[in-house]
Amino acid sequence: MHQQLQNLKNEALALIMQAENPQELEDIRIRYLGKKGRLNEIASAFGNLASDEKITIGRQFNNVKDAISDALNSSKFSSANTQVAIIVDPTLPGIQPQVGHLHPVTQAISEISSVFEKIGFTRVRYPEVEWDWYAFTALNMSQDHPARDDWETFFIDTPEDPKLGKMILTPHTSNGQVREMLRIKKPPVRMVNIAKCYRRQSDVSHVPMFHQFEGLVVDENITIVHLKGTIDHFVKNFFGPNRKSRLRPYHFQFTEPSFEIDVTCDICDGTAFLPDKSPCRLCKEGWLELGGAGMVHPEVLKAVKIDSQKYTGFAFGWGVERSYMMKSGIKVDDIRLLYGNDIRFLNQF
Amino acid sequence: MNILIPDSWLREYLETDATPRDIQRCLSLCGPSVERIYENKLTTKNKDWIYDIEITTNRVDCMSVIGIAREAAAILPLFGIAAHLKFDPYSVKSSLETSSSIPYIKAKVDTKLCSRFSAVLIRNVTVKTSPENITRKLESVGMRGLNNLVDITNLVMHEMGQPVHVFDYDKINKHLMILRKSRKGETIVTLDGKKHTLPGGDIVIEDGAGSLIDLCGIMGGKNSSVSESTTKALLFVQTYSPNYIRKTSMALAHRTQAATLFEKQLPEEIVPFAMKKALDLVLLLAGGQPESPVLDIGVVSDDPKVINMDTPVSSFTSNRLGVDVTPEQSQKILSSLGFTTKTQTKIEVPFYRKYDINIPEDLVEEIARLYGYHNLPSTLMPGSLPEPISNPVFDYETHIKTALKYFGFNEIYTYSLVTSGSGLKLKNPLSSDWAYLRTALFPSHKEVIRQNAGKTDFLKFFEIANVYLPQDNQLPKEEGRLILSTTGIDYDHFKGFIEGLLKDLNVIDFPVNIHSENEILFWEEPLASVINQINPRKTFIPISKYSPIIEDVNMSLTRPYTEIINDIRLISPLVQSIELIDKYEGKITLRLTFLDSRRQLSSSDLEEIRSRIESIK
Repeated sequence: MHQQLQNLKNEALALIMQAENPQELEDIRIRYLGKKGRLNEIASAFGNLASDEKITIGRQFNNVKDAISDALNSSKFSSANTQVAIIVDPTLPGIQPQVGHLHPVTQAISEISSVFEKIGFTRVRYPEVEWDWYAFTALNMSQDHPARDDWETFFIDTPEDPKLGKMILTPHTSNGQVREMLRIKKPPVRMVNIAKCYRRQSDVSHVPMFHQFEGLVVDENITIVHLKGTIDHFVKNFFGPNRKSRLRPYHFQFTEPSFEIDVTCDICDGTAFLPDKSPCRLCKEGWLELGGAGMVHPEVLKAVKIDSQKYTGFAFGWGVERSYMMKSGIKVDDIRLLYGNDIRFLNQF
Repeated sequence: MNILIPDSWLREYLETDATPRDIQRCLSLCGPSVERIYENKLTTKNKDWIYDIEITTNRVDCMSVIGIAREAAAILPLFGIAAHLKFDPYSVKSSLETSSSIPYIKAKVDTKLCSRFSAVLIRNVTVKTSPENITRKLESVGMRGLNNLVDITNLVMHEMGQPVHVFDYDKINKHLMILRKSRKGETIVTLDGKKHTLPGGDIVIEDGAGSLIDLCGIMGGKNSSVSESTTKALLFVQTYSPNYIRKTSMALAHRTQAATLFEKQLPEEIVPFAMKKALDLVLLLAGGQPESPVLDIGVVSDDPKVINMDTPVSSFTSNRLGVDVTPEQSQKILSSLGFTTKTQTKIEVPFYRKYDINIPEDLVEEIARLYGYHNLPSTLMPGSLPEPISNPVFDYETHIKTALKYFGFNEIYTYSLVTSGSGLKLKNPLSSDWAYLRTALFPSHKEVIRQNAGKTDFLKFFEIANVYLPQDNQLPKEEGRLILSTTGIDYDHFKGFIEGLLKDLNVIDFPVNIHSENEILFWEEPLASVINQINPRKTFIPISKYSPIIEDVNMSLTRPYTEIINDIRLISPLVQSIELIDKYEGKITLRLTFLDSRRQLSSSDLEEIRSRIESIK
């Protein structure tokens, strides 16, 4: 009987391997494992065996039965396998957790602060509603400077402070320079102030409320070379290693010399022309304007009682929204969309 | 401000081999920025180009063909491109005879308003159309040819950067000109036919009949303008106190090229040169006989402005630049820009830069920009870092925003300015929608939710922003707030998000007060009060080696949940945790976990506890 079982197993396994469709497989199953199948036929003869034989043959019988049913189950025509293949369509999407979106301005601010933190800038936060003195006078802006005009800056309807002047909404983050130097008193100063700013303007490229980031470094022997180094660090780390920057002469009241910073355009790669030779419409001759910068004006240092003979410094103040759009290549044709908070807009970021 | 300069006009003054592209590139790096070049479509013979150049407000001297030629002559040689001025129009003193009092016009001038006032009468002029080359020149820079006299004034303005005006002498009543401040409500009709009611404090000229004949520095009056029948022309060249011009021009929303120039403050020295140039052109194109002397009121010192330095200009510049500049280099650069280095500590400023160059740092800029910012190395600063004040608030904000994003909330930024409220009021709002500073974030969110209604099944928003709480005689308190707002999410889930956030931050003892308005649920708290409750330290409780016993209990919610929980906790210290696992119509199911850290509990240990819990149901 031992031999009989062995042969039966080999025979069955061979047939299972040769089976070509589920029906054949099922036939094999019935023939060997069915109620009236070959294995049960053998089992019915167990009564004739001696009791010690019963144990060994019974063990072998079970092994053979397991081997055959395992082989049946693992055949590619086994119903267990074919059914699974039908139920799981791997092209069906899974069930995703609902994930929201951070506003582009938040994304930009966190990248900007991280780039500056790496070179030792401390992030600070200063008032968005401010006295004239901090926003204008201390920044060397004359009493009749156009920025103080009603049509440029928002004024608060409240009595003037006898010393500090009118109350305004900050039109730039540069009041942070004044406040930070007054706080630190003795350089070194290395800060980045990121805050909301307000100007009386609203059109496709202007919003009355926007964000700026203001950098300030004051120490002994700070030169234009260091300003260039800092700007290059920012441009390469924020915009990408292939972007270049340049300084152009410009004019601001609170810096001297003053510069405008340009960054190479990512659309035309700074060439001013697109691959099809047509002129790039996003930039000016391959360059995009990032914003202003300059060496801190001695009058500003004087205003905050820092010795302008001993210390020099540089400052820059750029728009967060603008930097973000220049980085991402996203062209929002109406900047007011950023603050329109349409869910169909927000969901894209 | 921008100016258009045709390449051909520039080369009337500038001798150079530079191509227009060279000029654009070099000027942009070292001087005024040439934003664009385009072909001049109005030329017929030779190909011509037009430069569109941005001029910063301090460089009004560059708002002219001559100014740009001067810059180009200084800059191009630094790039190895030969260039020089064909002639310096300001090197020879004007040959015109002048006097502060002349018989043909009586002028009363407030010199605080008008620092130099000059005029000359030309008799027997013929007003006609200008020659084509003149008209075309003007048209290519965006001006219109009118008649020879007016065209001359525009031409001189564009070439020299000094506005010039021409009156019809016969239309000036009694040949009297009183230059004064306007009174509020006075009216004048300007050349373009627009009637202006003056705000008051504007510079005007009144004639012998008491009518206003000039809105000074902005546009002449229609009543005194030249026409085809004009035979006596009064040429008129002035410099004005800049702030008056800007105020008037902005208040009347009447922005003219003249106003743009005058409001930047023009040097008085240029007046006789412009007068001479205009007069020569009048005689050439309109004929006539000029009176002499020319009227010239206002005192101008012959001494040039001087910048005195404490340290030699070259070493001072080297210190600011971060590279060594030799005395020869600085002298050469300054001289190319019209400055005279008397000594290394005494620098004379050319008259056309006298209102722009004031301190040694201004000279640094002049030397640095011609040295070339592109030639400077780029290095990060050494030196010690400031006292660290890493402000953990920024990290917490990032933490909160990130958590909420992954809870499915959308971050929004809403305007700090609102239509109404108890906040500070703007004196000059842009529109009534933005008239007050907000004192709460919710009204803005309500509006955003309203605008997004119907676009999705539910909305989940958050924002971190300041509100501005008024304080007497002080700046408002800028309080950072955190708001979560929603529609389409039920109370339990909304509260769950907040509790989940607080748990993630390890905030302890912070009651969650959710407000509702119509269909909207919101939670708005000062950010600082949330952050203050953060326990930055995590505590570790050793994991018990004994198994807990977990039992679910059903109860009726006949009193506040927190009371029930407290009562259960008071029953036995073996109650390790209580968790709400189900809630249905006033019935709750609690899952209680019992644990003794010293021994294994058995079911019989809990019998007494069970009966006591039963009793508080």
